[in-house]
Amino acid sequence: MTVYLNRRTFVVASSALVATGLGAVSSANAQTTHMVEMLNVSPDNPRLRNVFEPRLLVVQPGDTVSFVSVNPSHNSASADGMIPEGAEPWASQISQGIDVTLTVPGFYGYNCTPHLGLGMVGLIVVEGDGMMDNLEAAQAVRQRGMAARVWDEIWAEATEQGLLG
Amino acid sequence: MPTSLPAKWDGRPLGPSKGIPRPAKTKVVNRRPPARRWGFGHDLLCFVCIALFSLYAVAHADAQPLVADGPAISIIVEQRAGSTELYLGGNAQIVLEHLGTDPNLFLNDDGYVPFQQFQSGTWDLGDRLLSGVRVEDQGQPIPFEAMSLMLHPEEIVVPFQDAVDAVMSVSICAVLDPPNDLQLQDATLYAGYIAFHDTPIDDLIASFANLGRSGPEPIDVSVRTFRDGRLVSAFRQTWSEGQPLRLIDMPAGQQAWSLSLSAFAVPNALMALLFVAGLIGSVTSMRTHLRPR
Repeated sequence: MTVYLNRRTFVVASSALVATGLGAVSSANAQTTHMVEMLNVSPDNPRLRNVFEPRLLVVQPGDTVSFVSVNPSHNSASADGMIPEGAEPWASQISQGIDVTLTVPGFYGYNCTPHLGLGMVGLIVVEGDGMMDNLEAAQAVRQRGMAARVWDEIWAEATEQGLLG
Repeated sequence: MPTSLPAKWDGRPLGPSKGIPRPAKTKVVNRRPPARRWGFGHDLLCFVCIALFSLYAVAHADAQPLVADGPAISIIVEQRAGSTELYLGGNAQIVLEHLGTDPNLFLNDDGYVPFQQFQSGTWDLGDRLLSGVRVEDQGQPIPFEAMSLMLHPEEIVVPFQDAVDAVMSVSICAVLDPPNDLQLQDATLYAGYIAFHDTPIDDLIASFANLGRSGPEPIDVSVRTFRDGRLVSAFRQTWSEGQPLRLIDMPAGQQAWSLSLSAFAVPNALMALLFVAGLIGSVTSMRTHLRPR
């Protein structure tokens, strides 16, 4: 069977192919914004106070994490010794949110500065080549007060999700 | 003796002393007692309401122990598998005085509480506060580490009932409108500590360094101990500076005092007495009225 294409059909079909290809490429490089709320009380467990929600987040390189100040007196600051080499540390003002774009794969620990001792901490995992490079160093950081217990829980969650290899 | 009023009565009391004849007693028939305004059901309902109210009051009194007639220092112990949390609250000046801590650590140059500085974390202050205290379990030291510490204006009631409340009381996020001119004598101090341990803690005794000065007056200290969020003991003890302070079990030789039990039992016992007295009174009154004269 012979299929004849006129000019109009050819142009429409070609355009559709190009558009589809471009869409695929752009979705592969899409930069997603993830939201993390800074809260006085966990929405899932009222007995948990001073929390990031969610406290464990998995993102792709180039994604942005937006820390939203829902309740006052909280902030987000990268934890000393808990971000990959070459990554930019961050710290927001108290009661203010901040947008952080993460490009280097690895484990990013962060906390609320005044509530660190009460265990207001969180972890972002940026997937990609070399993401495991700073895992050991991040886990070795000595934690203050209640943060030690919360970090144990977070590492356990990350293990359950298969993020630690 | 005449049996009726004199024909002309001048209004003076009638009686033999006046020489004026009094009328003869008349027999009262079908005399009914005055109707009671409220019945037995009403009394019973009142009693139940008061009992419920006292229960409600007790629950809230426990939530706000740092009142004028309450203990000078309140302590909450939360025991979990592998860790023990310790929270204390009390008037800032009293706490600092009894723990031998330099009050200037908690003041700015103007002599006021520096809330702005607290935004960078207060665990260092918490560690300083407990630096002269040795907490041990059967002779073995338990290293408590400060989680956070906070001061609140004393007129603001901060819930301090259990560890969940306590976490907020030691947080700066609970101080919504920090004043610029708060002094220590007008502030309530809350501090939270945690210790991690492999084996369960059976007893917890805090001993204090000899501060080498004449200590302040003994104070009342209340201790509420929880295991996994469940209250397991509550007692008060009198504590003098330099003396060991028991943090889990009731100290020997001191009278146990349960806030919840006595606060519930005393008013209800009184109400029960009043209720019974009222019943007896009612019955007596009815019998009196029913008795023919």
